[in-house]
Amino acid sequence: MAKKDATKLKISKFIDAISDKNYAAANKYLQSAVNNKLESRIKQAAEKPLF
Amino acid sequence: MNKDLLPEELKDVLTEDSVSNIETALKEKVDLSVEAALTTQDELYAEKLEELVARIDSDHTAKMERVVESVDANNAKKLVTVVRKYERELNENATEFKDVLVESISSYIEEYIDEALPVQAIEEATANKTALSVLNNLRNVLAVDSSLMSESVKEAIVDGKGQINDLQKEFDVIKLENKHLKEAYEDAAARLVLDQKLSGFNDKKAAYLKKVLSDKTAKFITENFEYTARLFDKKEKEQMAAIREEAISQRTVKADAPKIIVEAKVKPSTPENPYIAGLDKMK
Repeated sequence: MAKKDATKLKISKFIDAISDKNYAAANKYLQSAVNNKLESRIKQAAEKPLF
Repeated sequence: MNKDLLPEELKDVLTEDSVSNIETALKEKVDLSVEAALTTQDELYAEKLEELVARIDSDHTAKMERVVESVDANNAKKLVTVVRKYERELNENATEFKDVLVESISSYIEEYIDEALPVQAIEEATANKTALSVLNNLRNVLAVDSSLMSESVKEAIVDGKGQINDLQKEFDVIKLENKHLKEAYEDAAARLVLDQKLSGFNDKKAAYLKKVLSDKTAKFITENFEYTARLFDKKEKEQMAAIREEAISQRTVKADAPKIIVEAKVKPSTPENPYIAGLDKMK
């Protein structure tokens, strides 16, 4: 849940940065949001038992 | 000027030039009077007009001020309404819009990731990574490195392990044999040393020393032989003294001879050694 909130916060910052035409920061926040989503998916997959 | 308009008396007096001059003079006078009157009138009208313009200006100014105030108040009211509307839009609608936009972007990223990296691929990669980690841990626990994974090396290692086991068994057997040989050597050396040292003694002493030192090592025999021999000599002397005293006490003595009172010795329940036991039997 906290991870999801962090992802939404980064998307919100991404929108703010886009509005301010600060594209470097926007790129950083979008990349971080995508990384969070990927980490969440990998964590879900890793929680499944191997055997 | 027409001379006919003049009275009859003047017609004879005045000539045409005089009449003309008079007429010109009158005209100039009239013109001057008219001009003066017009100037006075202009000044009067100008003053009045200025006063009128000033009054109109003040009236218009007052009216304009009221109009401006009214317009300002109206515009300010409208602006306040506009500001409130925009603030409401910013605080409520814009926040809602931003939340909706965030959700939309989040959903879009989810869809994009689903398309670019399917869940199945992520699960497969995660399983591979987990399996690799488990395998590495097992290798560490079982001490299996990359060289041990080769079949040819595996056979050599198994063969080497067999050889090591065989050699270990042979080593145990040889170790046991060596132990027995060492014990036999030590016994032989001890016997040899004891025999060498007993060569100059009589049979009794030799038998005693052999009995005492036969189960000892050569080193122990070398170190303690002299002491044991001295101990035997001392005991033998004591026994000889005891026998002498006993013999003296039992012999038939002369009457005048002083009688020696010998206290009876308490015999030990068991002889101290076989030699003493033999002496007891001889009594």
